[in-house]
Amino acid sequence: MRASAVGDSVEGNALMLQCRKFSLQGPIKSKHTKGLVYTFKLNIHGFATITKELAETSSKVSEDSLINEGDEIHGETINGFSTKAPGKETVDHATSTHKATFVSTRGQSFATVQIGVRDQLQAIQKRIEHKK
Amino acid sequence: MTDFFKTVTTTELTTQPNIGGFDVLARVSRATSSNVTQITTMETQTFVSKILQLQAEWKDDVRLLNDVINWQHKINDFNSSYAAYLLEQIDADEFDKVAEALAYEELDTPPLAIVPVIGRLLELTTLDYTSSDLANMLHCSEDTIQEALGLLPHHLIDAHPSLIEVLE
Repeated sequence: MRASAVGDSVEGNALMLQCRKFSLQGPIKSKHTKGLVYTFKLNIHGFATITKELAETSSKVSEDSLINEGDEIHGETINGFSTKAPGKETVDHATSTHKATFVSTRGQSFATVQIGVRDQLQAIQKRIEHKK
Repeated sequence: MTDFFKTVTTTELTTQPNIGGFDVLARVSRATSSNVTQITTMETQTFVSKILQLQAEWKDDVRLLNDVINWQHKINDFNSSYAAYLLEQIDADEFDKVAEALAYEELDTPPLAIVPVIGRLLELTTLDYTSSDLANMLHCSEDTIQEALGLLPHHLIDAHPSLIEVLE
């Protein structure tokens, strides 16, 4: 299954990440996993695909997350985390015209499609205008 | 400047016999085209309070911008260590130690408390943050950020009533 709306997410014990701009954010001592998590950000044609399903003992971050092997999210900005440091980046052909960075995560992993806060606020503002 | 000071004439000052002690700042000015010299005064205490108010606002802004710089610096630092790890200059254990040292605990911040912070941050900087970025910078959960973002438009309207006209 493939999803690309803002807020759509995938969770697994390993994800394959694909994008043209990959970076790590600051590490967090997460309340959810009760341990250290490595947060990451994908920009420009981001994809996150489940390559290993979530262990039964792990608790999900979001009840609406896709959880089956092969499930995938796609977005211009994807944020997420993994409980182990992301593996080595490789660069390979993603389309006939562009290459992309591929990174595999290990441990409990979560990724979600996001948009910029300014765009999000504009959308909220419009909803308020619409209600008036 | 003229809104800031009260204009009086010297006659007014010298013809008030009952006036007690006073503490004012005076500004003497004359336009090039005029022959009239104006003296404007302001209570020193009022002037000082205005300066202190500005100072408090600037201090908050500086603290906020300082947080942004520290957050960006931490990310750069961490990504440099990640590059070193990818290039096998440090091993996984060493990288984990770096992460452990830089990691922060998620705080239970009330969403209402960070609404003005996010509002000011968006005014002061031009970066396009995601909610994860803000959670990372403000050391709170993404749920807290989402709740705060939901409250932000109302806060902006309260802070700038002129926006109501725009909305209408």
